Amino acid sequence: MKTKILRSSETGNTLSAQQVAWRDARLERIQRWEATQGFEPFIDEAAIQTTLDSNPAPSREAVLDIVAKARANASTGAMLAPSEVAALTAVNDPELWEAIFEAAYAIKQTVYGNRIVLFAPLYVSSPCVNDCLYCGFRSSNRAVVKRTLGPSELEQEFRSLVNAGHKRLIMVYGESQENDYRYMCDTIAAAYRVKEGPGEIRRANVNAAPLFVEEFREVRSVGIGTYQVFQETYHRPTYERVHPKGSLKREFDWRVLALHRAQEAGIDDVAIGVLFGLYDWRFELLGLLYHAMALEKVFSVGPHTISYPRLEPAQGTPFARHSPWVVSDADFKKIVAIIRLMCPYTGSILTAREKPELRREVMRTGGVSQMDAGSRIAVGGYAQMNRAHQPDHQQFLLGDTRSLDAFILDLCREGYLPSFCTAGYREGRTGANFMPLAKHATVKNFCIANGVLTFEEYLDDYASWAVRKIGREHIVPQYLDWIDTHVPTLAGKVRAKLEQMDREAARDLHF
Amino acid sequence: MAAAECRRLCETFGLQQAYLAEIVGRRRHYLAGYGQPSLDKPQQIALSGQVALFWHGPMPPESYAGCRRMFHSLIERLEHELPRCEEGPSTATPQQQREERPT
Repeated sequence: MKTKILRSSETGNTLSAQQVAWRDARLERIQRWEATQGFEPFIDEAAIQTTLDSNPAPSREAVLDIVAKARANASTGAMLAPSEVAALTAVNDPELWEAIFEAAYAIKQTVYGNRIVLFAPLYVSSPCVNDCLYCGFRSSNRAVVKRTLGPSELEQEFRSLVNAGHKRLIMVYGESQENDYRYMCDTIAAAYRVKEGPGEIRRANVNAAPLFVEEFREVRSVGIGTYQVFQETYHRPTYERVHPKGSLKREFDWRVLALHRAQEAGIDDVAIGVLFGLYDWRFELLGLLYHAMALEKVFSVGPHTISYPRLEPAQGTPFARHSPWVVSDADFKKIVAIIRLMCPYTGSILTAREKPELRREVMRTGGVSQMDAGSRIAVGGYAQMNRAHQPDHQQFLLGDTRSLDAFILDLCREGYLPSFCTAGYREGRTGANFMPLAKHATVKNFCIANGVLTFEEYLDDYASWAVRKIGREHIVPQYLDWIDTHVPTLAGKVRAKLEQMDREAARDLHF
Repeated sequence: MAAAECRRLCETFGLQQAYLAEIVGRRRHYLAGYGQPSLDKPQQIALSGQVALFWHGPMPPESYAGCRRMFHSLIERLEHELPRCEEGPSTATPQQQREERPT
């Protein structure tokens, strides 16, 4: 099938008549939904601002109390109160920030152990009827080529990823008729069909537009992992400013309630996020907290993960360079740490948008649990791995361009356990059966055991000599010792599975 | 109802946990259950093409047929409510797959 490439001369603010008709019909349907939906609103801008303004200078004692409470919450899964999160955002004392950073690291260790789960983003289709000011893929941006992968190209992407050792993907889609929920279903199902030697995709998460309930049901039916919808900003005036009128993404309530609809459709692993740099990061943290609280209140299942991409330069996207709310590296560290303290059980995703040095630091200070590596964010980028990154095909510019193997080597040198675990969603530890494990910090026992098994697979099948050496001589023995000490009932079974892998070349052994 | 049946199963066999999960491609989507997981891989049997039973604890294979009978009417009701989906590859071992074949 021929790739549909819209050349730069064909893009621009000139959507085809068909695209406009599709967009307008869908917008009408969305607005009808918004007018009749009955969910309780959970973002009150004035209340959030009042909370932020009411405690501009928390005392040292008050902050230390909040930090202690957050540490205790690691074993109960309780979230901090909005006033407590607001207090943390107002801290100026570097010593107190050290205490917060230490707590973030400790909380993540308590819940998930010292493992980092690895995934790859796969940009599947970039045509989009929206015109978001901050996005390289916006419909009016002539500088970036939009593209939708056909079946054979998609297969090449999958095989490139699998041959690098990846098992987990986040599949990313624009919003248009040609990459609607049916295309998503086809491409996700295609991901699961790929088998390349010992490799395969075991979990496909999705980052895409909000859908109607029946559309979410269809996407759910192909066995997705997590569905991510990032609100971008919870500040409605800013939201309306960066999302032009007439676009689908302009509809705030439609978007902020997307994951409520996903839950109604039976998708119980949902993920939230903010594009930091659009508005005040302190406000956005409270927005994330209120969103998490709303999901828990209505569905008893909070966010599976929280993401915090920062506004980054993109080809032909001047907005990204001129926002007054751009987040500094120092504030970014604070954001990640506060997310861990405020929602101890959530997965925390730090992407390769950020430079290696900052990623190393934030892993120590922020309680990060998931990261991507070896990423290509051009549509069709993995099949062209030998070529340089393609700024004119990308949504934004990447900061960390290390290969997966190089990244894993660095993780090992820092003492982390790299993990490709997908066991939870294969063993029914999803949604309401996952939350108690995460909230009571017992999930790490599965995480470390499955991390060892999946890392051993990587060492056998894909690792460089350097990674294999450090992995076999240090990391695997270190984490087997951890299992001996902390989960002795599992230790023998982990070793038995490792022996089975060695003896029978067995794969996908997990708990 | 599903949780109550899972509880009955746990009490009958002294299981630590039993739960039902919908088979959704490669995903096993938790529906309802009873008990707390142990730190081990759960065992599982398919109760139907759409629903699997997972458990932690000892349950002899000769009990599987009885389980299927026990959950039969519940599964019929559940499947009426569950959307039809594309079946993915099984995650069960070959031995489990032999045991899972419906009687």
